[in-house]
Amino acid sequence: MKRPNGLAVYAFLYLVFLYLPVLFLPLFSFNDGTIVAFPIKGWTLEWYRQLAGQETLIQALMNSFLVGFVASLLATSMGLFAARAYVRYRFRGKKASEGLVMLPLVIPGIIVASSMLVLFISIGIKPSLTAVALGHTFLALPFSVSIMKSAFDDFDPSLEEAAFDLGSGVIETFRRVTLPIVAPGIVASLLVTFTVSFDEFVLAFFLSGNQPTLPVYIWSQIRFPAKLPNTLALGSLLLLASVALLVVAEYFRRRSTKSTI
Amino acid sequence: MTEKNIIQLQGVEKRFGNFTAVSDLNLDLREGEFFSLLGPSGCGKTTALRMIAGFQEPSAGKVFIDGEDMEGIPANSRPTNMVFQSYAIFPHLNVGNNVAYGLRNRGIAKSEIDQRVTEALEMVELGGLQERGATELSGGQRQRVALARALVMRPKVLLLDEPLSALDKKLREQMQFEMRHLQQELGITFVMVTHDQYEAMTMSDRIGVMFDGRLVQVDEPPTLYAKPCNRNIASFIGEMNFLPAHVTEENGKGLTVTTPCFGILDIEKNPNVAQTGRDIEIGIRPEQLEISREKPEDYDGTVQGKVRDVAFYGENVHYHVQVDGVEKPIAASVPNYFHTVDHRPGDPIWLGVQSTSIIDLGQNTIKS
Amino acid sequence: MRSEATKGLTLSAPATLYVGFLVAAPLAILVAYSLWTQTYVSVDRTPTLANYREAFTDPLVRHLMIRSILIAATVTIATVALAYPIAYFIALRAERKTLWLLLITIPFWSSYLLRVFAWKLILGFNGVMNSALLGLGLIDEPLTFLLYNEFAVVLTLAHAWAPFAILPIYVSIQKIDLSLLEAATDLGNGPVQRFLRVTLPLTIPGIIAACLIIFIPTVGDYVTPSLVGGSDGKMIANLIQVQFGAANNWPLGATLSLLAMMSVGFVAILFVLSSTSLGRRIR
Repeated sequence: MKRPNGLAVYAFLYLVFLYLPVLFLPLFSFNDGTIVAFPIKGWTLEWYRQLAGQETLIQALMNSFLVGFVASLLATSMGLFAARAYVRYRFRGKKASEGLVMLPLVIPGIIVASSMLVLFISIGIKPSLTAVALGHTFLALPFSVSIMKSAFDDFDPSLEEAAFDLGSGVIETFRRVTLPIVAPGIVASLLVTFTVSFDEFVLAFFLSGNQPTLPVYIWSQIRFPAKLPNTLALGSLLLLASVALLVVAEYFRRRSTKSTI
Repeated sequence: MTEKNIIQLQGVEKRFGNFTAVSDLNLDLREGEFFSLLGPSGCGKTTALRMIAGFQEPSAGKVFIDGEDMEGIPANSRPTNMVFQSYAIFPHLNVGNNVAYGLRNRGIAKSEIDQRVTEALEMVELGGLQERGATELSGGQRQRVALARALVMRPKVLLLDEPLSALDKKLREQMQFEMRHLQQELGITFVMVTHDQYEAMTMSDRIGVMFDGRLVQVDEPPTLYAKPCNRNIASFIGEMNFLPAHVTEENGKGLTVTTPCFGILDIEKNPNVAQTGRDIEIGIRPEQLEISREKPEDYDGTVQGKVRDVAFYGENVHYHVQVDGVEKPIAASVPNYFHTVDHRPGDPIWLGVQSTSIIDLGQNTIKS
Repeated sequence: MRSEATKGLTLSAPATLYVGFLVAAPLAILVAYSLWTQTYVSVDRTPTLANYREAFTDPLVRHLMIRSILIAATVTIATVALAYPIAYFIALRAERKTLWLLLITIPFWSSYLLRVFAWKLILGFNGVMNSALLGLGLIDEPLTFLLYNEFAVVLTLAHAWAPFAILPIYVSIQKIDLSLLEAATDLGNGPVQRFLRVTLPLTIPGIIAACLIIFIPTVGDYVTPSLVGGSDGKMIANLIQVQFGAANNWPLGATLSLLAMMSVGFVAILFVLSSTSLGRRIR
């Protein structure tokens, strides 16, 4: 489009709206003052330095890593199998199953959180990292299924048939043909589901008990104005981590599908 | 058909960046004729059609419809309607609403719209299908709906972009005749774009052949087949054997040429040829060649060769005959009168040709 | 070799059962809890409709429920209306679609909690917006209507849900065969008519998807009303959280969860039915 048009201008303004709040966090995390307002008093890395010494923060970070690791592994392995079934096979109840698996995307967070709390207590799982990981697996599953579905979509079934034809067994075919081709999709799914878990708050707030994940820790810090600059620094790091993970995931997702979107 | 020109293209050109899709296109279309733009994909024929419709503006030149300059007149105000290659049937509307779509833009009374839609659907033999959903139609029905939707607008010119390419062979042949009949009954000018020579030849009054953005020849189908103006057209329309020839004498309407295998022949000059010279190329249609075991009598040129391949097509049989002095085998086709294949690969064979069936294709552009 | 159906069922079983269990079981237990009552520290398991009676008669519940639905509806309409032109732009006008889609989705991948937190800082009395406007001399005293009200909640949520509105609408516009648009022009439509008669009706499924994806979770949003809603912007989720937390009245919390779910479902079904029938009337 050479001529300037209204739509393009609007799109640009919209981007500004989308990015503005996200960029303010890092901006003020370097501010040498405790009040988040203009003008900026000076530049400092002090707030970042202070983060390193906080025991509870490190512990929360470790908790988040652990939960994210378990949830992404569980979600991706279930998603891998389910996506293969949806793309390759026809069976009764396929549509219903595909719809059901997407359900976690649209249930209000508070309802998932409260109902899982009630369920876990009832079946004897105390609020803990285990409970959070199980809940995050539930929330991450739709992401994993849709990423794996697009990975299998572009996977020509005759490749597997060719491998069979050339004498490979079922397991060998999976290992030597299927897995290498969908591997980028698996990596993308792991990264995305990890990010989903890593950033999730409400469910972790209800289920984590006395083992806070990073977002739950941040929530507890937000209430203290004195801790604000530290929270900003921590938040900025978290933003950076999420975006970095997404970019890597996107790279792998592109490799797993021929589609450009 | 009248003598009035309904569409005039004057020096029309279309460039996309450095690429020229259509260059210096001059063409007059007569009111009421069925005209086809024929050419391989990417030759610019669709771009030409879209410039008439108004979907693309010419980079240079003028488009006149019914005497009116179309510059600055958008597609929605032109007296043309289009049948799209994909048919572009609105999926959210039923058949009746698809056909009525354009009429509703014109503030026509509901009763008249209903009546015209009914008529249009009957015309394309879809009477009574108003309520049928767009997604429940077969390929042939979609094509008919697209035709009805355009014709109900009573356009001065109906533009058809590869209208039959999405149909299977049998249906395509049936629709060729139906569309031809429809066009003759309505007397509306049809301009069709196609890459299918048979489609163009069976349906059209005249055909314009395009190559590489240029309109190369405009003629009625028999003339186009008998007197193609160059090698490209000759090989694009029907099959053709090409042979080099040397002109030894030139007189008025005739040429005396020496050929590598049929000896010296007196042939007719092709008035359509643009460039000529001493070294020319001649063409012989496979069905014009006589093929027999003995040397054929009463033929102007004869040559002996050996059968290389036999291709059985059902209605006729093609023999590829290797002849000394000619690089490529010469193709000869014989109607399958007696359900026999008379010659086998390796058989010695004679070919005969009449000089009247030899086509002068002008200067040899291949090699000397 | 096993049949295709068996393979499909076996492979999809873990995911289906996992989600199915975690949807059905909590629901059943919620229903059970909602029929029980809280008596100080213990739960009385005699079935009763007392919680429902309380929920229906308590004006606060009704008030928060209606406000949640209204806020969610406003957020949905605002987000979809703002997103449609962007989706249209990316699908039909932009040259680098992938880049645009990526740009739109990147902010969404940052933690939701942090984005809401950022808005709190921006909109606050001594916050970024007010200090910037004061510094530029555009205002003389800090604006007070920015934070701790429904406006802040709507703004923050509209920001948070943007990509969820853009993507489904983008997909539905992208799917439109461009020759349909040309056909509409060919049959006499100007740009506006063409949009109303072809583009819009063909993108209704995308709009409906976008609306549901935004509306349903938004009704039950907890973080945004807590951080930027103040007392005027509280929503039903805050009340539910209180029942499971400070108030320690799980049966009432379960009842409220179920009621919230039912109202959301009811409004959503009503919306889908009315918008599809509206779409069918366009000719």
